[in-house]
Amino acid sequence: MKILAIALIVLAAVAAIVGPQLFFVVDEKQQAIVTRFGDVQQSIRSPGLYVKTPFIDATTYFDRRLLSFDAPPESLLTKDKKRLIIDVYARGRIVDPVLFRETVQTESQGKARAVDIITSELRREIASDNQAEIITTKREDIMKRVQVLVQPKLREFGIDIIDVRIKRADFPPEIAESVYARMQSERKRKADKERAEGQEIDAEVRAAVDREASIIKATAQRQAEITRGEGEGEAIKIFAEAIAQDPEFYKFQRSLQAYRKIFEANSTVVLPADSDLFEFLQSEEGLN
Amino acid sequence: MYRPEEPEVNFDQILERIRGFFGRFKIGGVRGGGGSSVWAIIVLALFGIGILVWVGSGFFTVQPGEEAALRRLGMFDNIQGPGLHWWWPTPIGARDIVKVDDIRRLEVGVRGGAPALDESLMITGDPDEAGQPGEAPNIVDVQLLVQYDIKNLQQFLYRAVDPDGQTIKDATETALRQVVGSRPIDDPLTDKKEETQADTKLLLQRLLDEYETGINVREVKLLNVFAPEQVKDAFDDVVRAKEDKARIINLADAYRESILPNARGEAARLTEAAEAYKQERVAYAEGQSQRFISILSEYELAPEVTRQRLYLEAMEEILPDIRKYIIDDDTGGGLIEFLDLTGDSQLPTSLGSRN
Repeated sequence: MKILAIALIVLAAVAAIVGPQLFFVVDEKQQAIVTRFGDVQQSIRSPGLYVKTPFIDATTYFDRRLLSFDAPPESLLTKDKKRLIIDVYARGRIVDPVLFRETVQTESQGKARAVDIITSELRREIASDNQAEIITTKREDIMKRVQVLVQPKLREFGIDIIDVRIKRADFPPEIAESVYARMQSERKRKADKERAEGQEIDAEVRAAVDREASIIKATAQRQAEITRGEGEGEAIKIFAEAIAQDPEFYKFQRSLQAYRKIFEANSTVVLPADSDLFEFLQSEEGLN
Repeated sequence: MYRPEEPEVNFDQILERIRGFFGRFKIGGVRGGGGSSVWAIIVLALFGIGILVWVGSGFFTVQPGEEAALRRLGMFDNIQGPGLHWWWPTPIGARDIVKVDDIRRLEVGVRGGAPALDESLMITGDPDEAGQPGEAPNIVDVQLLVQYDIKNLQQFLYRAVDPDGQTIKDATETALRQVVGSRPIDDPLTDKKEETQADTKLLLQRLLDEYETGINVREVKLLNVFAPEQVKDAFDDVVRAKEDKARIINLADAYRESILPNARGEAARLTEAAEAYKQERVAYAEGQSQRFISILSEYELAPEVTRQRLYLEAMEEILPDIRKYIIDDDTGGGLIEFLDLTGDSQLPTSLGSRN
């Protein structure tokens, strides 16, 4: 009983002192190297429980996750001698912790070195492209090229860069001002164009409408004249048919009708006394 | 050594009973001083309780919408969904419980409700007159909202540094600026917002997958897109110009809609009037003809007499209201005699009237 208790206490004490020296856990997020007086004994890339020589061996942990290498924004000159403020970052991981430790020792130093290399390569690439291409079509291209250039250089430090990205590409303030001025003039042109187009459409529509209205009226006019002509023609035809039955009588009868209209009240007329009308006016014998 | 008198007896009694229970664990049948084994029992009991507490601390519950990632000796083991689970407690095991279904938000260009111009101002790739993209770049002010959740907890926890912090922020800014930079300013500003959002979402998801963040982008939404302060008036004026244009076109349409019906009405009036005239002429002609024919048929019965009668009737009707001069040639009279040679033209007056 007592021995068991003593054994447990001793075990616990030994475990508490030696355990951390003998065993070490490498987490899912980590990788580690074990060194003895500076010499690398083990390089551990996968998580789990590991054993080392207590008190003599030292463990150094490095991040196994994808790291961010963030370069500060920098004003760079493009091929067409324009300036752009470019903010770039890279993503990569430590793939060779031994090499990493030998060359740059710590993560912060490693990052600083990586950023230096990335920016210098970026500067060269930016200088070989025009501003317009950097902004639009070639952005992805440039980033890929920088990544390809940077990768072998950083491999020498045990870092594998998987991606380089231009986060921001901005104009320096003084250039931004001239861009604003140009934008303003472009917009003004656009506004003027819109208004002019409006006027144009207005004129076109009104002209077309007026033309259409004139055509409609003229067509109607033509039709009206044709119709009137038809009416008159038909009337003449009807008259002619009737008159043809006795033209002489028509002439007589129509003349009488006309006289009724021609001689209005207060007209003056001179009649010869021997007119047929007065045949019986002077002598009764006239009647025979 | 510290040896209390009174409780000793009680302890011994208790220990005897415990010994009865755990008799077979007795090592070597040691029957030392009763007092000296007391602390041993306490130590054992503490160990036992310690182990129980330790094992008990391995129980945990996962709420709905959560997932638990479990590690044993640092190594990822598995993922558990909602429910009650047990897993090795520290230092052997470790667990990370994360709300994976929660929709998380990231705003770019806005910081705490206030605009952040260094984030939101970006270059657009407007083409120049010749259609060369990026030659006439503009600057636009874009505020973006990203909504995301976690699709792969293992990656989210262990594969990238700060996945829902710096990583997603960097990736979002990159994607947005790349997409906006490849388009003219009017795309995000007015007519192609949907496409801009869709492209940004696609590129963002690609980057996040490449970085093994385990993040799933649910939605990318352009919150506000403005023209920068410096050029706002000019942009507003374009909007006004477009409205002016629309208004003018509307007025022109209104003109069309008022003029054409009028013209058609006028046309209808003309044709109808002509038709009426035609009908009128025909009717008149028919009437007149019919009248003539009727008279003619009567006339033919006694032409001479009727003719005489018609003539006289007409005269009778016409002559009463008329001033008449009847000249008899036989009495030597002639028209000349009535002429006023003095120049007085008032012929009727000088002669007097019958009426």
